[in-house]
Formats: sequence, structure tokens, C-alpha cells
Amino acid sequence: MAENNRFPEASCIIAFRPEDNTSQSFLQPLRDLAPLEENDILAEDGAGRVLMIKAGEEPEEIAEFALALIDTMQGETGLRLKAGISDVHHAPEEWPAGYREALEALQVGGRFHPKAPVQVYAHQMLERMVEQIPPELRRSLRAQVFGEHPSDILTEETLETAESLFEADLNLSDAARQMFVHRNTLTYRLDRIKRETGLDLRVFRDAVIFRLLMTMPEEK
Amino acid sequence: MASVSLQHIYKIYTGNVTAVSDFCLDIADKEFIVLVGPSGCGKSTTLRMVAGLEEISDGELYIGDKLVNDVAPKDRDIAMVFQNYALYPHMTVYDNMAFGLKLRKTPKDEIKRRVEEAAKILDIAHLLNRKPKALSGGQRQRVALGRAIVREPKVFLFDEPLSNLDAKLRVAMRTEITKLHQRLQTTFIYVTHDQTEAMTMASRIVVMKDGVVQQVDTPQNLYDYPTNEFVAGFIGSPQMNFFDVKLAREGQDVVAKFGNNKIIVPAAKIGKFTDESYIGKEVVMGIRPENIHDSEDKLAEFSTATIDVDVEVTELMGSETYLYLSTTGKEGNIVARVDPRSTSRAGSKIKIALDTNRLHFFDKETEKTILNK
Repeated sequence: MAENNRFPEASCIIAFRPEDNTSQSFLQPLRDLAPLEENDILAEDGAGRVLMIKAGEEPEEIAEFALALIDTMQGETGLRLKAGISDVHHAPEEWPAGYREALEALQVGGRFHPKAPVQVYAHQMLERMVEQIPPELRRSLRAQVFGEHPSDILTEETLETAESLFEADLNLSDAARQMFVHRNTLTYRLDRIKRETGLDLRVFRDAVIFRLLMTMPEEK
Repeated sequence: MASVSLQHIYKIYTGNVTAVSDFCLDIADKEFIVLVGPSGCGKSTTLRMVAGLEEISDGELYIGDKLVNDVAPKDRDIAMVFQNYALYPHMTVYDNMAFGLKLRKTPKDEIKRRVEEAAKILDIAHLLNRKPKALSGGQRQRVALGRAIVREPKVFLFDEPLSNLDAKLRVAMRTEITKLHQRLQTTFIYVTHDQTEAMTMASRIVVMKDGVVQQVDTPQNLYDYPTNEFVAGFIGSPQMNFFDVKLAREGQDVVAKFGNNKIIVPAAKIGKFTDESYIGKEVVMGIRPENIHDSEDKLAEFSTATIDVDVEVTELMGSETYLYLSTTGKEGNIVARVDPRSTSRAGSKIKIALDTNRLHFFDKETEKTILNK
């Protein structure tokens, strides 16, 4: 399994799987295309996934590496991959835990952010908390705020507005700048969201509730 | 450089889900085609079929004269720019741009020549030794473009390349990509959900909805002569205002009535109706925000098409002002784009005039235009 005998001081486990879950092995093309560094390790896990032990201390940087590699694979072979990234680990004994984290990142991310190609375990705290809420209760909580047809309220514009406001730490001027709309337009949209949901996203408490409900995947 | 021809292309997923239906389009060499539509309309799937990343269920795809349905992505002589613009963080800009060529075993000198030339075009020559971490969002996007340029492909494919950038940078990069197209003189196929991007960059736009092409035309023609209500609403920001109206004859005139409002439709407009039997029926009337006026001179000019409205919100944009208005017989707001010196204020009742030469009419059932060009 190991490509050399030296282990990196800090590393993350990346678990790659084909987006369509095909069982065809992609270890060799990935090995051919990945710009591996000296201490990187690549192996199959026997369940259709390829694991990479990637030296590095920043999960964000490793996520970017994974994304670039996914793009390369897609462009060169047409195969679309998804990746889950573990927390940083400092010894080979921790790699099994890292493996589990990478798989969990893939699974949780697949449910909450199905379109995102790379899922980072360290960024999924909220999602993992939400997962603990029983589906029936999630459905009921969402219905309380968004009604029986959440997609009528959670339009692309509403989601973009809420995301931008949260990204800007509820600062209206910054959010408006980020969205390239006039501050009045943002205020107008927030008033509309308040009318539709009863939540005023300018107020921290309401913003937290909205963020939490927004995170919940739509129950089938 | 090459033409691209999509002939009766279908994408059908398992479970008989049709993502793209009977897509036909001939893209000329050096053309800048933009596929636009809401998410799920099939635009990215179409692009991915051109790239070879998605199998074509039915139909024929030609790049140049060559049928490429079964040609692997790497052998199609195309380069794709994704929205992620992901770069390898441990590599320099030079190595990131050169990476694809190294995979193809391109000679070192040739790689150097191509990377340096692309860097010059993109004005990133001074960044070649930097790592991605030290780059701004715009610079990273340029490197991603550079990675595609060095491949010297026949066709460039762009899949929402600007959607991860902030709004200001998006505007700047729009211009950059247009300039790049002029400079490279290569066929560009570009996917976006942003109609402004489509309008500002394309030589022709393909508007899609539910996997079906709605209209293919130049930006100006799409704007002026939308073929249906969807295109009319999708192209233009703020979007076209729609009114459910009843057309009726009153003496010599044909009027459009909604709520307590009544406007006279000019004879010249009636003359463009595909079928006069629409008079007496309910249709959908559309008017763009810039064709609604609150100034005295326009109220006088279009005195037969004025309506009373309540001003709910005003947005001062500097070069123009948006008025959000309400009136009887119209669900939701009417949006007007007026002169920034407008004195209309939120909470007031005003009169507005509709430029009747600029009215659009659509069949209520089919949603298709009922006007000839």
C-alpha cells in the first residue's frame, strides 16, 4: 500500500468515489494523473473507493488539491469523482479514524450538499448536528417556517440573499456589496423573507433558526 | 478552430428522465455561443455532452466535420473551464498551467512557449512563480483560463466559470473573457444561469428550459422579440412586467383592460398580431421596466396608456431609479426603471405611462408571442 516508508508528520485522508458509484477501478488513472508528492499514499479500500493519504496541515488546502484532481480526472478521462476529506492527523495510528471521517464527510455531504464535489469533515459540524434530529421532526420544523412547499419560499434568490448575509456576518452593506445589489434591494428582499417566514434575518436569533432550517435537506 | 454541430441531441437518464430533448444547433467557427436558463434546464448537460463527459443518448455531435459521439474527452481537442477554477495548491502558477501539457508528454520547450504566451495574453506573466495561495480570486480565475488556453483547443467550453466569483469581479471577468474570445478567434461555448452574462458576451444566445431550446438568437433580438413568455421574463433585469389583460374593441380602438385600468393599444401594434381573433380574449401583456415612465412629458406622450399606481419602494441606483409599484388587476409589483431625477417617493400615489410601442403580447394558454416581428 505505501509508496515509500516515510510517513508525513501531518496528513489528511481523502476518500474518492465515482459520482455515479460505478464499480470500475479508477486507482490506476488516478495514480497516472495525480501530481503526487513524496509522502503521499494512494490505495484502494476494497469498497470501490480510492484513499489518498495526503501530507498537509490545512484541510482547506487539501480540499483544493482534491478539487483540482477531480477536475483533471474529469477533463482527461470523463470520470466524475467525489471526495471526502478527514481532519488533520499526525500519526499512522490515527489514519483509521481519518478514514472513517473521510467516509462520513462523503456520506453527510452527499445528503446535505449533493452537488458539491468535495466534502470536508471539519466543515460539517452543523450538518452532523442536524442529522441527529429525527426526519419527522425536521420535516415538521421546516413546515412550521416554510410551509408545506418549502421550494416556493426557498427560491434561488432567497437562498443567495440569506447566504450572502450570513457570509457578511449579518452586515447589510457588506452583503449588498457582495451581491452587487443596492442596499434597498437587499432590505426589500429581507422584508419579503420576513413576511413569508416570520424570520427577520437581520436579527441573530432568527438568522440562526433560518440557517439551521436551510441546512436541513428536504425530506422526501 | 472549428464549427460544432449538435443534431437532434437527447440526454435520457435511467428511469426515462429526459434532461435534454431534441437539441439542434449549428455553431459557426469562432462564434461565442451562450447557453442560458434556470438550473435544471439542461444547459450544463448539453455542454458536458459536447465535452464528452456525458454520454449522448441519441443524436449526432460533430466537431468540425468529425462525428465525435464516441470520441474520448481528451481526444476531442476541446478545453473546459469549470466554475471551481481549482488549482493545485502546492504547484506554482507555471506548473498549474503546464500540468495538462505534461500529462500529454508535450516537449518542455513547447510547454514553456505556450505557458508564457498564455500568461502574456492573460496578463499574469508576473505571477508565474507564485503559488495559488498568493493569488486573488480574479488572478486564480485567469490561471484557470490559462490552463485551458495552453492546450490550444479547437473549442473552449465554459461551465459557469464566473459563478464562484463575487459580483464585482464577475463583471470585470466578463469583459476579460469577451476580449479573450476576440484575441483567440476560437469557438466558445459558454454556460451560465446569469442572463446578464449571456447578454453581454454572446454572439448568439440559446435559451433553454426543461431540456428544450426555447429560442436561439442574438442578444438584441432575444430582448426585443422574445418568442414566448419564458424568454421574455428570463432575459432582462429587472425582468419584464406581465399583466393578465382582456383585449376589447371600443369604437375605433382596441383596449387592454386589467383591474380598473385601461390602455389603448396602438393600431400599429394590433397590425402585428398573428391573429386578430385575440381581440376579445384574455392574453398576457408584457412591458419592460424601462418602457414605463413617470415624467410629465411621457405622461403626455402616452396619455392613452396611463395608469394609477401606489409607489411601494424606490431604489436609487445612481444612474437610474427603480420604482416598485402596485395597482389593481396586477398581482405583485410592477417594476419601472425611471430617470434618477424622478420625484416619485415610496408611499405616494402617482400616474405612470406605458410606452405602447414597446408592448408585448402572449397567448395565455401556449405562452407564445402573438406578435409578428
